[in-house]
Amino acid sequence: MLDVKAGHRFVDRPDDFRLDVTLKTPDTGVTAVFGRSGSGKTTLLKVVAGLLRPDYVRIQVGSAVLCDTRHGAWIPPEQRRIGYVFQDTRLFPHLNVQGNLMFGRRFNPPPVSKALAFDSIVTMLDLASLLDRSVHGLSGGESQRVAIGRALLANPRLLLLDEPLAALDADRKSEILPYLEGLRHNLDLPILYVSHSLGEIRRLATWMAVLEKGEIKAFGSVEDITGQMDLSPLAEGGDTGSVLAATVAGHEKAHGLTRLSLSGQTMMVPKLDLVEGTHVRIQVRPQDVALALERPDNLSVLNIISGNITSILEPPRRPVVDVQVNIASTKKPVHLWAQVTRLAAERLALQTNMPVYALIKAVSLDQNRVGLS
Amino acid sequence: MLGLTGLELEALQVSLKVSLWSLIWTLPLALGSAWLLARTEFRGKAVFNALIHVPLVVPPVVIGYLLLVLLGRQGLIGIWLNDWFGIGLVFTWQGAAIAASVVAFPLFVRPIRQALEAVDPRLDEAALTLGANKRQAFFAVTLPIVMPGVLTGALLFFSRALGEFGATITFAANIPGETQTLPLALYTATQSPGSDPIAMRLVMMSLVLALGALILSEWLTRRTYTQRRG
Repeated sequence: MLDVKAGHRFVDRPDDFRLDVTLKTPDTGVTAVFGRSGSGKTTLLKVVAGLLRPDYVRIQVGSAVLCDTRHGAWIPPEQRRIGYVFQDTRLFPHLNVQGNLMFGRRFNPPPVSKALAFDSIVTMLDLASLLDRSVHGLSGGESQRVAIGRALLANPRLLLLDEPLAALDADRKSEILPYLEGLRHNLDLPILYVSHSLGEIRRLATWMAVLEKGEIKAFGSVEDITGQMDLSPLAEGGDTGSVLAATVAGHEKAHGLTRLSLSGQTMMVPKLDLVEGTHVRIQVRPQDVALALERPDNLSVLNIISGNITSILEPPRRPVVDVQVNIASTKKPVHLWAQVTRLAAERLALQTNMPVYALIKAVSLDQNRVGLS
Repeated sequence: MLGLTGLELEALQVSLKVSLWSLIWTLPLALGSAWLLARTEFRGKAVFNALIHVPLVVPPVVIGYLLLVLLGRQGLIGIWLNDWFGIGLVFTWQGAAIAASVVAFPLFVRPIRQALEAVDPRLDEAALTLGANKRQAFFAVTLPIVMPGVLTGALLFFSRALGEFGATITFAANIPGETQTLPLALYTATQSPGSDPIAMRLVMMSLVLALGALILSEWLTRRTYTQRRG
């Protein structure tokens, strides 16, 4: 468990930025910190790592209180055992890959956990062939893997990842994402993952905190947060959407499709190499969802999901509305966001509590939008 | 040895003793000054910077004279050193080393400062999160990275200290076996009739010494780079 309370007024920032954060995360698993640039994501990580000392801070990891300024307690960063993977990797240029990996071992006791032994980290991150290399010749993805390995080998009790994919191009991103998923599955270690990409969060995180102007606006499971909040104003690069929990129900081999079961309804997606019963999460972008008042026939769209409108948001200065649809068959709501033009919303006279059908093209739900839960 | 006369050997010994001791006790001062200039902001930094660089721009004789004023038997600090500790620096090889250190100091600081400015200070943050405290981070990260700069500075400093003349003769005088370094011995030789062969041998010794230092420094620098490329 990570328990952070921090407050700080930045006198040197002109925009009167304040950090005012209260965050409590579960024992293990990945918690994403989501927010746009300048929302205070990196500041929060630096506070947790102890690289920044705010006016007020109390941090507890598990049962260990790392600092509590009200009681004069302050463990310096080098004694916190908090791994930090920086966006710009910050590998040491005078050491080769092996030297970088072993750096933390010079100062920290060897790990208690077998999962963090040198060989298993090297295997997990596929670093064996890089050990003798200079860090100057590494690709972006390789550097990032070495940086992750270096942080893990320092025997951390908490791992902080600061947008590890932000500096990489799309190919490198998909190269490194499986390793990050591996971390989540193989390590019994809480991870705080900063990102402004909902796509990454959907694939990696179980929990997410939404940070806006230095404050935590929401905290909960990724499904709940993406269902309840319209995150599109916060996301960058149009990478928004609802994240829905689903189960693999079967495969349509002849057509190259996979059937997912989702809140008692069926959804078709391009074929996934997963066995029946696997739990997955799918990200549905609001612009990929159309709405109809009646169940349409003779339509190419395969996925027709019924639900009720729970709210309608009208973002200012844009010709669209964001419509939240509850598609759950049980009491616990499951939310899907649809983005339609204001004109269409007026023509259909959309209102809350209205039953609607959400239409989602199967081809919009490619592999990049589906992750293991 | 090698056909060198007693006087020439003595001059060589004094030169090496003076230059090497200067190098050793100036190293931490040069590192500290370069650190202050590259990594910190403080009131009077410009004055500090100017003070360090003064020996580059004033004649060495001026430095020698100022040292005499400060550290001489009746000097502002010298009188105190003499009364309390019985230390007299004038006319001693230690005095010659101080003269050489002051004159060559800016040449030591500059390359280290430039190397430090080229190091990303955020690497220190990375070292902290990996369990190194600030002192350990300096010795495990920053110092190895700036090592080529330190070696360059050490070579420039050593060569300049080896060649020091004006400040040394003014402050420590020209005493054979004590403060008479190679340049001072060479000066004496050029002043005495019929000493041309001696002068030529001293010139050769100076050249060999300077070239030796240059080659050693190049080799050390290359070795650090090779280790780094791993």
